[in-house]
Amino acid sequence: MSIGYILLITAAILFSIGIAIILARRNLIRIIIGMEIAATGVNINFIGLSLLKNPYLIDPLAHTIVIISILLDGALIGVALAMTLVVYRKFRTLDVDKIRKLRW
Amino acid sequence: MLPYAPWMVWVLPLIVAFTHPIWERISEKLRDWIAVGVAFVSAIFAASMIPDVLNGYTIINGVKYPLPYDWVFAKWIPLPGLEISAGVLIDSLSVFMANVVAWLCSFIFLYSIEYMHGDRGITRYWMLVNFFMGSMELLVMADNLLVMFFGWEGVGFASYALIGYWYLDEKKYWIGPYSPSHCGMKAFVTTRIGDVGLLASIIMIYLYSHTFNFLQLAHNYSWAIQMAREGILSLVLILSLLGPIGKSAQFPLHVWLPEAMAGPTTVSALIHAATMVKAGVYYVARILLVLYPIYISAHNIVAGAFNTFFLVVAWVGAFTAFLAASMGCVSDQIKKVLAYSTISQLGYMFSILGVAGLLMSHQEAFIESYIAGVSHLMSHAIFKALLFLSAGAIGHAIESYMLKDMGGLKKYMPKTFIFMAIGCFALAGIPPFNGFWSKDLILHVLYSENMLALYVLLAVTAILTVFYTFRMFGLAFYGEESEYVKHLIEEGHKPHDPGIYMSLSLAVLSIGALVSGFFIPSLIDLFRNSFMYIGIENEILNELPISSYIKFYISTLINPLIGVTALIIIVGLTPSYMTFITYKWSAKDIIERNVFLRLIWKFLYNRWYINTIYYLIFVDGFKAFCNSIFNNIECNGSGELLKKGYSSFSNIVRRVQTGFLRVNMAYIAWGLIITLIIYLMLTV
Repeated sequence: MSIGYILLITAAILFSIGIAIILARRNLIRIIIGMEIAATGVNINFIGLSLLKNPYLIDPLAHTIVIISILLDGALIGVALAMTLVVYRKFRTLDVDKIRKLRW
Repeated sequence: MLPYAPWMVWVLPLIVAFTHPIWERISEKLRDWIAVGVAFVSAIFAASMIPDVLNGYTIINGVKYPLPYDWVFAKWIPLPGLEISAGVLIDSLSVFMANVVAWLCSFIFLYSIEYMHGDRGITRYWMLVNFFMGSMELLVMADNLLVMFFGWEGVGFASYALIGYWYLDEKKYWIGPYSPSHCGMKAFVTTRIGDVGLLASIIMIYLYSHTFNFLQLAHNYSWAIQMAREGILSLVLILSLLGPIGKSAQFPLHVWLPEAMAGPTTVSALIHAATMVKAGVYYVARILLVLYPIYISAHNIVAGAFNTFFLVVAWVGAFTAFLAASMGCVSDQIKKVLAYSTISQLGYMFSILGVAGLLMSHQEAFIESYIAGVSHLMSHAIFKALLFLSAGAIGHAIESYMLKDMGGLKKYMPKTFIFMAIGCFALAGIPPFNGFWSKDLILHVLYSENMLALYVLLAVTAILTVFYTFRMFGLAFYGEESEYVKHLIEEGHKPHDPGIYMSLSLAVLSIGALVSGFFIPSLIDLFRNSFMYIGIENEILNELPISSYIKFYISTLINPLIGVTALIIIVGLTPSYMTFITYKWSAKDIIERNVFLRLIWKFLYNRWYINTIYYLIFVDGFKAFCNSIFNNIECNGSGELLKKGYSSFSNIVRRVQTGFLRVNMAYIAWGLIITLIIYLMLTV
């Protein structure tokens, strides 16, 4: 089994774990951690696909995209944590089941 | 030519227009002077192109090019089969127009510094007028129809925004029954009707010729021949005339210009008298230069269509001249009189340029009428700006533009009196002011080319012009002070002459009105290049009576037609002198004694009922139509049914919004999985 497949399987596992955390956990901070894990899975997926195409080349395009993606992750986590802070100040809780303003 | 002059004239004002909010933060004075300064810089760039046009060649980056030179800067849309380039055209007409526009803009901006001082939205004012200046220069410098259309729409927007400049609609800015924002909307909608026609014809011409470029249109004339064979050439040309008719306020789209006076007076002077309304005249002059070579090469095919088109131009212009002049005779507001007079003088230009098109087979007559048209354009731009700015000085002093609020201002405002007098003399065509030379040239050409019907109509219009000019002048400056002025003096607001900047601009324009008429023969030199390019020989240009100064003065002054001019002035001046300057005749008595005159007065005062009819059909009619839809369809059950149906549907759908974050996330995950499954099913 080539290293590309190993990376793809790792990516799938990480992404599933991330989605599972988002779906199952109630704490906002944990949900953000889940998002980050899922994003890591996606990044690894990029590298895996690039290696699948050509195992003997470090594809600069895929790496560039991943670096930009990591950068955006950093920005995203900053915004997400800031929003969490605002949510906490307003609702005095981080339990997403109690924050249910957006409903019919 | 200064480097990049044809670009700088329009790029600089456009850029500066958007930087005024920055300057405003630093200092208000800085903002004002930057707005004025950029206009003067642009004017210097424009003036630097004149020597090149006189020489007939230009040097760009060390390479010598013959004029007219199409300076393509960029391939705008470089698609295969649709290669549209953006560029500027350096030729006589564009340089002439650029100079008229830039110098008038400069002095009117200088005047605005004092006139607009202390107004609330003055940053907006400077942004819009600089934007207007850039768009107008783009319009006149453009080398193809599409770029010209961009400038065309830009000036239309600036005009709309500046007419409605006092958008809070205070009562003192109303024009008759209309508020400023209403007037702006009216101007915008009316000119838009024409612009649609212009755009349609531009596209039609493109479909046949595959180019928008003026020089290419003149050279590859197969498009005109093909259109003429299919019988649509005159239709397409008349369709394109709708744009100029709207922009230059010709009949039947003339109704917007009197209402356009709701804006500040500087705007009226700049946009609605001196420059923007000349865009239509510019278009006709430009299209003449395009159509002339086509006529020479293929006149047996295109002559019929061209004659139809130019006959329409000439008669629309002449009729509008008469129509507007007759309305100007009874108007009750000084700016409205000037607006009617603008429409009327634009009619003169249209008419003579139409005649130029009709006379394409006689080169001398073509050149004479063309020069008459553009010289009247220049004269009118100068003296009408002067008149508007003088009216603005009066308005600045007494805070009103109604003629009934004026009267006897001569002793309070002696300087304004002199400036206004010069403007009135020029408008009325009294020698030696510039209006006399250009208007006389127009009438002279019409007479010597046996266009007698047009000649009589325009001569009668000239009589009316003299009458309404001095009626306005007398009502403003002579006679008793009105109650309003007396009231102002009692309150301590004595009407006074304007300050230094306003006076300076007025003085410069007065000198222009005094001397520019003498330089009409120089216009031949300026246009020599374009005329030779379209195939007129140099000898013919040199032998024309208007090509040398002495011959021009002699043929104008020592000519039987000067008697007609004198007659026009006397017939027009006598009633207005007796009635409104010496007040020996009473206008009220004359009108009240004669039923017939009273009917005419009412007819003219209501603007031939054209405005009323338009409002009846297009405003009130449309409103009634919309109301009937509202009442008969929306309010009788079907609207209710729609509402109920929508609400019961949304009651079902809204249940998916639970408010649980995880449910939303589950939707996303399911969506992902389903998409993946579909994708796999499709590919495997």
